[in-house]
Amino acid sequence: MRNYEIAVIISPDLNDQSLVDLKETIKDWIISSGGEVALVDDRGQRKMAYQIEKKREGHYISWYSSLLPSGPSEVERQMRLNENILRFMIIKSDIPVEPNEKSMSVESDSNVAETAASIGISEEITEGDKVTEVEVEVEVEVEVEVDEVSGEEQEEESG
Amino acid sequence: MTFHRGSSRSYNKRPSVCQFCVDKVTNLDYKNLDVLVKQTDPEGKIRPRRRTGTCARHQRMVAIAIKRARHMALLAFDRGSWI
Repeated sequence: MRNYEIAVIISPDLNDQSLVDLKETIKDWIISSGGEVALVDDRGQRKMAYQIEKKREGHYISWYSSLLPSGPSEVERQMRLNENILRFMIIKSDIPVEPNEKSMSVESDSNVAETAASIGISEEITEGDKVTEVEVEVEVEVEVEVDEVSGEEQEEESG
Repeated sequence: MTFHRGSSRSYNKRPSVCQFCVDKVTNLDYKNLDVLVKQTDPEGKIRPRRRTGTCARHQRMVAIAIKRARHMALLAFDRGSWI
């Protein structure tokens, strides 16, 4: 058994009762293929980035479930036959622990402070390099001025 | 100081550290649009590594997540032709 996320966009034209029926039907497809549903994430109706089948909005639902190796192909075949499913995607995915914080998982350990400190040190070093560069430029300008002055003196002497 | 030799084309210097490595990101979901929109340019194209400073490993995760978000109509393939 492997964990999958079955993401579906359902047509916005369905009424409430047929939407509930379709959700039940999809759940039955998952269970009849030998899978288990761990979490249903209903994100409601939202505007799509582009039109699908002349529709501008879609109802986004994800089923986080564990399926047998033959499960995805069976669920996919059923989804292709249903006209009210505008688009679907079955991807390998872990079941999120917290539904609201699932979008990006971050390692939690104490090294974060250390890395931040090391980055701070590297920034200091680069700033130091910049300071030395500026000093060098100033020295060069001073030398040029000295040369000009000496040149004028020479001209005066010759005149 | 920055000097432009030849052409006058300006460029932003690439950040030296991958922001995803700093945040210790291990898994990037296609539904995380706040992060993914920042990784696309106004046209909707995926921003290159030389612009964002993302490391190769995290750039692969970004590319896969953006392509999945495009398939599910969360991001546009070409934003220029629709708005």
